[in-house]
Amino acid sequence: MKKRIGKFQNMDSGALCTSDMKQLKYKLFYAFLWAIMLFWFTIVILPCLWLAVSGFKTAAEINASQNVTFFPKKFDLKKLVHAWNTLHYQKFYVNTFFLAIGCVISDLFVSGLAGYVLSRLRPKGYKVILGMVFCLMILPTTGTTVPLYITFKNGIIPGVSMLNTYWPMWLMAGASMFNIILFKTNFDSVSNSLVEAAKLDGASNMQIFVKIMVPLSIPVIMTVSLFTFNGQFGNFFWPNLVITDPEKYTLGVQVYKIQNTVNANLTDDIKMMGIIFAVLPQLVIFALFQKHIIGGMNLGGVKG
Amino acid sequence: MKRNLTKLVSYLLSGVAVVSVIAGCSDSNKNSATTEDGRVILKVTTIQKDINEEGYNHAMKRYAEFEEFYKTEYPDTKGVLVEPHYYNFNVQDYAAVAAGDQLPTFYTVPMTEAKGIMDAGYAKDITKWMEEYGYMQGMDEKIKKNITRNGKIYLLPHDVYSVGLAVNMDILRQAGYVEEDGTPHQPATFEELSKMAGEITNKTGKPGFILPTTGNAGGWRFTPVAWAYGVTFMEQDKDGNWHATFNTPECVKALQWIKDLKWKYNTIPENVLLDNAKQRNMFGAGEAAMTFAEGNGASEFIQAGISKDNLGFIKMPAGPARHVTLIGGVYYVFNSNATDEQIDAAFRYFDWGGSGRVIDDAIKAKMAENMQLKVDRGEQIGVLKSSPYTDDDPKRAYEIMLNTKSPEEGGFRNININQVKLYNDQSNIEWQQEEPVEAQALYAVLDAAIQAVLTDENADCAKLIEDAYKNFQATLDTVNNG
Amino acid sequence: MLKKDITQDKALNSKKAKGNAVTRFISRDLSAWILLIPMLICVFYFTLRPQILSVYWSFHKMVMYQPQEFVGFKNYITVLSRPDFLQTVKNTLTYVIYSMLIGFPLPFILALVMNELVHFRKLTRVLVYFPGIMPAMAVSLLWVFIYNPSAGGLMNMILGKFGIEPYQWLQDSRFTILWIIVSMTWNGCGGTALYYFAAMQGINRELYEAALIDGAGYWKRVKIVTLPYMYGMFILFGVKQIIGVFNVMEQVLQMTGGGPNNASVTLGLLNYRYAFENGGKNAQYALALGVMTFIFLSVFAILYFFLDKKIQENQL
Repeated sequence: MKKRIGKFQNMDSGALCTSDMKQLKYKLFYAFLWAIMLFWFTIVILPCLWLAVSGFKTAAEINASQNVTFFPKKFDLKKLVHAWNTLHYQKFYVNTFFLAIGCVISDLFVSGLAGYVLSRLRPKGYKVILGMVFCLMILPTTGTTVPLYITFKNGIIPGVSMLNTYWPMWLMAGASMFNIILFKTNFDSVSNSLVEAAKLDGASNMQIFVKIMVPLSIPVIMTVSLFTFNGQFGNFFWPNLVITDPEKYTLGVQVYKIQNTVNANLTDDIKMMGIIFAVLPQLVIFALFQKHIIGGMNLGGVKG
Repeated sequence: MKRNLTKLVSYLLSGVAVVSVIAGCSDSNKNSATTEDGRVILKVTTIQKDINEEGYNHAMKRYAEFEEFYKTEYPDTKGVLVEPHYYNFNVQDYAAVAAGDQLPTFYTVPMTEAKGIMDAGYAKDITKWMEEYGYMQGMDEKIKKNITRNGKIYLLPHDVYSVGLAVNMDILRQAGYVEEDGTPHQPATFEELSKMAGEITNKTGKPGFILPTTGNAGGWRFTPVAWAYGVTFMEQDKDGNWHATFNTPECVKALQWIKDLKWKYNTIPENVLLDNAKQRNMFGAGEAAMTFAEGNGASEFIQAGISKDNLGFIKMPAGPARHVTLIGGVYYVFNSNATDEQIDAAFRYFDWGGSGRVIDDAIKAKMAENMQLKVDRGEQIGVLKSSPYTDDDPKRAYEIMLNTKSPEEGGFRNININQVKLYNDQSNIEWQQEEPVEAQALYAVLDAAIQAVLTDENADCAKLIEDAYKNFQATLDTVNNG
Repeated sequence: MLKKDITQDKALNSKKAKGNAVTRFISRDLSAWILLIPMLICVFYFTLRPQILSVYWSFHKMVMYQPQEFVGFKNYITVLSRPDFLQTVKNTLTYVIYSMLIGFPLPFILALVMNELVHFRKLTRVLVYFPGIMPAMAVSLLWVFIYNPSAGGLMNMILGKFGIEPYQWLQDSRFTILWIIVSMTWNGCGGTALYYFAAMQGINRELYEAALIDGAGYWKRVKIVTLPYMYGMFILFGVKQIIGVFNVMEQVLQMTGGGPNNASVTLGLLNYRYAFENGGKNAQYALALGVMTFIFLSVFAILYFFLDKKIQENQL
């Protein structure tokens, strides 16, 4: 009990103060807050847990109209192997990884450089670009779907269609206004003396970027990479429109497509497994980089 | 600083070079008509290796055989290369696939969509070949009209079907709807059908009837029911303008029939938002007794899990006004980018494979071989596909024999013929092709009405039909205004 | 060595040239602009150009995604006169309202609770954010199974525990939108809650202490300290959410396809249908609809800027 009180003293951060906790009223209130949080935890966990166990049910169990149970009647880990072999996800994992990594590279290169220029070099007229970036960040993109699609169809280099390639997604990832601002804000805070010293040593702009800015901005780079990677792993809209060759489908597209395929092997339980396999990479990434991801949320700050 | 600049420029230039090299690579992926050594490339729709390795390997074997045959039969050409190409027509992404030049040399398209494809200019003019290879003789006049635009032929009829009902024999048997000789009960009217479905649900607990309701499939399935109730969906006036004409009590009654299935006879399952694929999967999994289907849908149902002996077919029942069903099918569309040599090769491929119009002993043997393959694949043989050709066409007559005669009689039938005989006899039922203008838009508005009556017990059928009518007239207005 | 000498020379030269505007432009500005080129290309091709083209092409007839003759406002008139337009606008507003009622207060409540909890803070943050790591596509498909109208769906299983008959969920056209919003909120509210939480952590604790000394209870403190501080963020996130919900399309496509009876079609989905169904035959209407939505939403975007500026002035 004592320890708990001690904790309040060290860590209190909200509207409740240490002195409040001496009152029963606030102790109960604190318990009430926990009750809310536990209720929310249930809401968060239940669907996930249900997804995890439902994959092990039979299709008949999933669609049953009586004697339904939360847990499957039989828990057979072999089902995982069976589902994997039915779904053929290997190639979709590879494709999606290829897509996502490309997007990360493009994002870091294009947005990173732009953030650097806007933060440090500030050439004449950079304010126009900065203003534009801010405007485009919030301006709705509704309506650009058809012209964009036509752009991809006709290609930027005339006659070279970008349909059925990952180029549209890669290049679009480069035009992320939010990340440009994120990089700019971050580079703003890099100590000026280091940059000046490098300049005196005759380092070029590019060298300063690679040798000073990048190493000093690893956390933000991590965050942007993770968010871009994760976002692309579940990307559906454009890959679904652009990629029509089943060999090049990404996970996001494939998971959707299997819902609408006539195939006796793709029963509802296998489709559930399909969803599980599709979110697995994100789960692993979240488990590994949880600190960066949650920390990264704060980086975005008010700008959201 | 100048040197930095030069450096930068060179970085950028090399960057551009890399990009253009990569772009160049993707360029070489484009459909080309011939191989480097001058062989014609024929891209043929082939099943994916992942899904059916055996089927894929068999196809590859056949392609190799055809390549050999081509070399000896047409020595004046440089030969052919048959490339397997997975493609499955889908309205949603068709334009994207076509624009990306990802279509095979020829591919099948449902009758429903074929018109749109002709209009959009994705189909190649094949008049020359259709005549040269004898496809125009013995063809049904209505079909002829359908494949022609401005006097030129753009489509090759591949498969024709008429809509009936697929039944799950086991469930029907449990409910007492199968005669001793294995003939499923044929409901004479739609009223009788819904009563029968309700009875099946009462006796077996299984849904008696399912129908797809999303992705325009609901409207598509609804049209023949409405025709049977006496509905005309649209008419063209003398100025050439189209008018929707289905805001009638008949159409309301037809919709009421669907509503009753759910709320009066409780025979439709809880999950009513089904698309075509889900409907087939459900029926195939034995979770429903009856559904709308066409004879050549048998293989899909079997793929979805139902056994060939458990799958029966019956005819569409009659409505108060007419006894009519929808005739549809699939056409071959030829890639508008295909060269004449590719089309030549394609038509030679059809003749060689037995699907052309030539009928001689070699072709007969080939046809028998194809039937054997179907048997080996576990497909159901016995349901008679409809045909764009008249029954006295020699090739068609042979086809009927192969499909309906037992092995002792020289055919390949592998089921009790009684399971499907009621469907096979289409003599006393009228055939109607789908609505001529904006059929997909019509189906979309009907989908909405069907979804409404199946999800809302208090839905007002008359109001729904009125709404659908107004919505569809708005679409027709855009057509009328060009 | 030699190389170093040259660069040093250069550094000197550039210092000398400081007065000369042209040299300075080349040495400093031009090289910086060159580094901006990749970004400018991306922005030009994927944001600016499509936006301009969509306005321009919306006055044209499109065939096979190629603009044809100029048709004036015809596309706009067609879109506006189709009966499904009104229904879609109504639906979209319903989405916005539900999302404001559910998706908007919930993250704040969560953040408020998180702000007070001093035990298991890390775990709390991880769990609150957890649904946010799943892509929208997977979440939609998962919730389709959760809303399965047979007794085996998770929701109906829960109802069954209370002895309630299975319910239709997404098939109940009166509330389809609500259920879609619930699933979207499940997916997205953790992220917003963390943003709010981070902001709340920035509140100066002395303000609370001062309020405490004035005898303010918990709710009073929240009212006079937390809420005013968060006010700006609420508006920003609110505007962002409205813009986001207006364009919602993926979730609807995957969960209901717009049904039943078009009860859940949004402007985003209608736009998609025009653009890509039936072989792109109606692409011109997608353009016109997109331009109209764009103009409407720009009002919100301008509002956002206006508020954003105010907030920056007042608080930062």
